[in-house]
Amino acid sequence: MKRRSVFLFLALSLLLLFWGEGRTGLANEAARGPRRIVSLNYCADELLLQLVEPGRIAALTWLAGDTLGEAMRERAVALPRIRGGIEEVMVSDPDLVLAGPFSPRGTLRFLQARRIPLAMMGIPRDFEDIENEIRKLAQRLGAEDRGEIMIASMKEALKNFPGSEELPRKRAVFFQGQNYVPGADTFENAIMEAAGLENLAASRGIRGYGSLSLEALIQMKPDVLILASDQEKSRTVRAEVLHHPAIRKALPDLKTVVLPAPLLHCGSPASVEAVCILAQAVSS
Amino acid sequence: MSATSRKIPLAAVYSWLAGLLIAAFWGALSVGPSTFSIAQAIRDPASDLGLILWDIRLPRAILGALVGATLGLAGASMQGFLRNPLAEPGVLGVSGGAAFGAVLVYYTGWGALFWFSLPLGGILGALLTVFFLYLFSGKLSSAHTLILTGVAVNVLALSGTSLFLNLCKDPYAVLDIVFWQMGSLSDRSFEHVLLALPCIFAGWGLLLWDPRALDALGLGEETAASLGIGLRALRLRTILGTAFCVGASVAICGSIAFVGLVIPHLLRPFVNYEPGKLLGVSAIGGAILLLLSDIAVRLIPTSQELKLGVLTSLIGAPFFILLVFKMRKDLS
Repeated sequence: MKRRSVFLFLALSLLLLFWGEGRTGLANEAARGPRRIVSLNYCADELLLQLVEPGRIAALTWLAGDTLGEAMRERAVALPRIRGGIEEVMVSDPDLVLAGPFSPRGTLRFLQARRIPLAMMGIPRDFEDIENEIRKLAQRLGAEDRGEIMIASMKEALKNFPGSEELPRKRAVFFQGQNYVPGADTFENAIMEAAGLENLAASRGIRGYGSLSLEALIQMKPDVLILASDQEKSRTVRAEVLHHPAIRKALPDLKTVVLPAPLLHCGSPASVEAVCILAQAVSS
Repeated sequence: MSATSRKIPLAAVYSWLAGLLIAAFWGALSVGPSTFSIAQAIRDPASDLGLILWDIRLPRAILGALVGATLGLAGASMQGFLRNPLAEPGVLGVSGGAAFGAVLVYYTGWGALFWFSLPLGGILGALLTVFFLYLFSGKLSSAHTLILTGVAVNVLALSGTSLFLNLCKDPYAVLDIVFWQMGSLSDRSFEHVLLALPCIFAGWGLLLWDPRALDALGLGEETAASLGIGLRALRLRTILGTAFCVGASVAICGSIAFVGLVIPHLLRPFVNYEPGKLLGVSAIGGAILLLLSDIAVRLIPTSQELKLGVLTSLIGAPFFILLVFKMRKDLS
């Protein structure tokens, strides 16, 4: 019985191996680097799709494709998408797994025990972090050239914005449901700074994510209130504070900017678009 | 006990409670993330401080008083009607049922159909559970079986609520479970007060209709009937009244447990153990307790404001256990 199941398993993996082999239209670049990449990190999905040919991707996360443009979404949807359980990952037969701080712990421990190569993604706190993330990942994938092109185009796009030099800066708060605000050392902060705004939560001394009461918000008198689209659309009790009548009354000149949530979930070159929307909305 | 309590006239009890209520209300207005003098804020209502006082703190304090009074009153009348010292909207699952009803309305978007629909959802949910409980209250004559039924109803309502929130498309909906389970008054506005007020008043009206009927019921059902008390009418008023005020409160502020248990017990000696007189004082007592709890959650320095039910349950649950032990002792 035991022998039979081992045989079955071997046959299945061989089959999968050949199947995967057959599917990969090998690009020149792919001659080196892993060829059955599995991503367990939503943010890695986005970079992976841009750095390698789809043929080298064995699986993406089940959320893949939510962020990106139409073309990228089509590519993502055509690939297997998994939730990250151990079985799913093993069936994908990976030679490299990309994971992040929120990936399932159990799966990661299993992969480490099996000595399956694992690349951990960080959480970028500014655009420099994004550069480093891309460079690191590109190296691991054997796609350095594409990585450098991505970085260069992101840097080029960022040059168009005022950054922190222009004075006086407009004062802004990025208000999230249940009074959460991003302070210093957050990616939202980097986006605000790049768009030439002062993040009042950071000026108030909040590092990372903190909470800001409605009373404090009114007294700080921000010029701009930034909301993420998913929070703004959310009809939940925790998002009700965003529509509190006191905000309207106390701050009649407040400019509200809604940023598309997919641009904010991951620090990535796509986030430059958020800077663009923010800078345009504030200057108009 | 009754010998000492008879010395306290009802008027004195009421004036003490009124004094405490005013102090708690004033405290609820003064405490918050920003410190300023209320007098200054009243003088200049258009300033930031004025807006904070009138649009943020005042509706919060008013809701606190309304919901607290509702819970105290509902607790007292349930204990009186069921003649069960452990009865309370939270323990018997009425709040849980109301939360389930409100959640159904809130997250399907039916709440936007007409202005009244959110409290209506809470009221229907509460009505269903109260009706269910009273339906069995005759058969479940023992105090413990009624409480156990309440526990089951509570669990059922809670799992229904969390199942529904998990099925919601909105990824943030699940995070609201804490609100519906533990309740909160934070950042509520006058829109919420106006939404809850009519139903809460209607419920109070029904529960306070004829307090002496509860006194008569305390002597036993047959005695009450012989005294000309319409038991069916009393039952209907208690069911509808509880459903109205508890349903609307929970729909606006989430379920807050144990206020209705603790307050009637603390105040019973002061009204000579008369269930009818207990109603009014329990309402004021409930308002005081909830306002004080709401002051405390704002004073305790946590990164996210504590939910109200956390505090009331911390006070109420040990009290509940104590009562259970006391009942056991009385039985043996």
